[in-house]
Amino acid sequence: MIPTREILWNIGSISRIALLTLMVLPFAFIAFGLAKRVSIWLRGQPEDRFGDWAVRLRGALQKSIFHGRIIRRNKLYAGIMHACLFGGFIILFIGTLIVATEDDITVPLFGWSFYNGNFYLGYKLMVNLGGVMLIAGVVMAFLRRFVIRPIYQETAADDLILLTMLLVLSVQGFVVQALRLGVEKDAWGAWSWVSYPMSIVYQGMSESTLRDLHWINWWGHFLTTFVFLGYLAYSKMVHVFTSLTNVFFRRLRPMGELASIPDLEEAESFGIAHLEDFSWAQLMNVDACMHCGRCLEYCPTFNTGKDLRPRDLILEIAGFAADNGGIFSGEVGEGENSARFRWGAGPDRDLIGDVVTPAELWDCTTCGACMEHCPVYIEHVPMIVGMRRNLVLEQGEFPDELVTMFNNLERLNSPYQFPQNQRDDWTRKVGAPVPIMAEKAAAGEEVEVLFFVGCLGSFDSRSQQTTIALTRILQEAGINFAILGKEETCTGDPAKRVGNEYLAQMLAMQTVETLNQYSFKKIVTACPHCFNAIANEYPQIGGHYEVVHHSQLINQLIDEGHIQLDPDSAIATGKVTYHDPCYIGRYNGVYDEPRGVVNALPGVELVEMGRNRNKSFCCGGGGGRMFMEETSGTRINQARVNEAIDTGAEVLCAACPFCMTMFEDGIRGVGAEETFAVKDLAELVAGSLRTKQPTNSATADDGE
Amino acid sequence: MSTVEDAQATAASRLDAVRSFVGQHLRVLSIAAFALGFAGLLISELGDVHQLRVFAAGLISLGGVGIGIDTGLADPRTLRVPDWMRSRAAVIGVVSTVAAIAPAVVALVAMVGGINGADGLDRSDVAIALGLLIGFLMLIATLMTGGLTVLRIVRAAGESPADGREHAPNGEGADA
Repeated sequence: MIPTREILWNIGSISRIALLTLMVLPFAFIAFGLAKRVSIWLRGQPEDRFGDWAVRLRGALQKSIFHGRIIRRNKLYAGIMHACLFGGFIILFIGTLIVATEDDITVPLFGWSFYNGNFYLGYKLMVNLGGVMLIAGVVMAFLRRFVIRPIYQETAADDLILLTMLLVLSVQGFVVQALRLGVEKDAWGAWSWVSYPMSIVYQGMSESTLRDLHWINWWGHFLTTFVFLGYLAYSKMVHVFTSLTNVFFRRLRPMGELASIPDLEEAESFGIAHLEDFSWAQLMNVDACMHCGRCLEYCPTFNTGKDLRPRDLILEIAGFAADNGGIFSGEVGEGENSARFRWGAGPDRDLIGDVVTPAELWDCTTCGACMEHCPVYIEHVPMIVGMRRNLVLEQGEFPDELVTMFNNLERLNSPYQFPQNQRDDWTRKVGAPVPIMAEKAAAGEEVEVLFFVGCLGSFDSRSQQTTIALTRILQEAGINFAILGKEETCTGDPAKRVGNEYLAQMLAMQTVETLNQYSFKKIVTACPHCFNAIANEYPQIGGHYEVVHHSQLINQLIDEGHIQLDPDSAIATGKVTYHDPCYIGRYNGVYDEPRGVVNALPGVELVEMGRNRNKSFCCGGGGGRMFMEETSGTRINQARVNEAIDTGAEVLCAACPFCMTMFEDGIRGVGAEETFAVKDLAELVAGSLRTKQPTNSATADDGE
Repeated sequence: MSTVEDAQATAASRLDAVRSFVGQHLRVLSIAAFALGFAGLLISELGDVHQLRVFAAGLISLGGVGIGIDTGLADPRTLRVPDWMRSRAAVIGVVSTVAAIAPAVVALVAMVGGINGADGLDRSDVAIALGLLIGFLMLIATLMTGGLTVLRIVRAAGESPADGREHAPNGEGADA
């Protein structure tokens, strides 16, 4: 006897007619919900997310379908849980398609049956596996939500409704299978390895009872499926469509690049104040959120108790978009902390003020942790900066502290109140002359490396020590370098991140104009913010340069033997921990070179903080936050300093003047000045240099 | 213009005409597709013309998709169904959850009746025990997930949206 089964066993023609007729409902509900969402996206501004189709498709397959961005080393439980849910559902879905193909297409149209023999046995094996995976995934999800309870996990009724439906679908499938086997007693029943033992128990019941139970559960199974499918587009389960689409249409530009406002002079409105001001891709972004909370895990504001929670910000906007689009929101959230609870509050609200508060927007340090860890490539930072742009350029609403910064940038080309002609005053503290670009060019001399010092490195007494240290290293390595000196201006990064795009573009164009006057091979800078602006944003305005961070250059110099380190002159020995600055780490993927440098330092043992590399925790100074007061929650810099101290290290190695400033404050804040210090990478290296030429180290180290 | 270009232009204009016609008459076309599909299904199942079934099901599905798109693209403020559903979300949620789990729960509980029934069956005790264990685990999982879901829906239904916005985030994840 060939193994197979009767499809729709115990189900009459009327039931089949009813089943296929009722199919109209889930299809209509899904189409309605998706049409609504697409119509909302189309209200957004144009943005080019087209082209590079192969890259997009590969990314969507790797990162979404094959869970490349969902299963991560530190997210194994959640990743496996999702893989079970996804894999189980897909197996069962394909299983249903196979049955439908046999019953509705190949047999009636071609008289060909394939649903038998070994194929059928393999099918049974796999479908049972799919059901078990689905149940396992749901049980893991419930354990995670009710037992493990990560602090960033939020559980609303919607989450549980969906999980319960998935579990019930699988249980119903097993029950229906077991009830049929209980009557039919297939000789190959054991291939249904989960429902077969159940069917043996059912064999003890009367056939009529089993048939009744089977009929009821068969209908229950299909009605649950229809309700689930109908609900799909109105719940977070819509991410099945939107996340995949979002990953496919993800931005392929560098993560650190913030798009400029095009035609700034001609623009009639600035930034984002209404739904229609978002780009279509950003509106798709908010619909792609699957509420996992990974954006919160390393978020400095969430972890220090501030207003901004990136996930909630996205969900607030998603809810507002749903209200505007007239989509029924299936989210029955929990009142206290759930952004989703506020869905359905109506479309007649102001985006900034009612939906998203200015406090949330100003909290952001633009560290990018949310974007880096989002499994579906949601880009929180550009949206936040977009709304900041509206507050600054259109409403004139921004923290008072920024007034000084804007004034300084406008008048002095630096966020600090130092005149332009003091930019190269630090050179007097170096034991040897520091070449100036203009002088070199006037003399017709070639320059290999342009050292872009940055505003903090030029004016701030603490950061000047880094500048001097890097100068010493460059001199020691015999690099043909020069600085812009009094010609250097702010790259515009602080203004750009707080939303003053007008000022940012002005400064950026000024800097590009200056840089374009000269000929050099590459730029080196100790400031990750300058690095990111020059590398990723200047190409938008015609500035194309090879730029390296000082950690990369120093690592190269050590590797190639251009500088030697002397154990006897090391300024730090023992344990040193390294902090990854957001703007070279997450934004530009520079993780190994700074560690290479620390590891090369004589007598130094690199100890890692728990949150390192792309999981690094912000210093709290990015996104213009260094120029603003931190008034709510605990202080971000102190949280990070405490984490560094907990490693047992005595020195925190920084590679960014912003981080340096924040950590100096943080160390004072936690009262650890006597036992703990922060040093820039360049300082540690310069302090360990085996000098080939005499230098005035006393002058270099005096800090003034 | 060459003959090829003429043909391309004609094809493009026909395509535009079809697109425009479908766009303007989407609702009627969708209802017609559904009705035709339903009629085909009746013929297929009651008249034993099963070759029709897949086409009938396709038309029904297409009709559903068309109706969904047509209403989905309509002015949101004229749609009352979403508001109605939102205002009854809790009731719908509870009823759906209970209705979904009830048949499976009944069937799983009914397994008890199969332990000792039907004399003369050659069933091993181990197989019965294993079957019962699987059924029991499924029953527990179904009841627990369903119960937690109903409780969460009921709890959430008692809260008002305004409360949520008023409540400032409390920094539950604060390092301090």
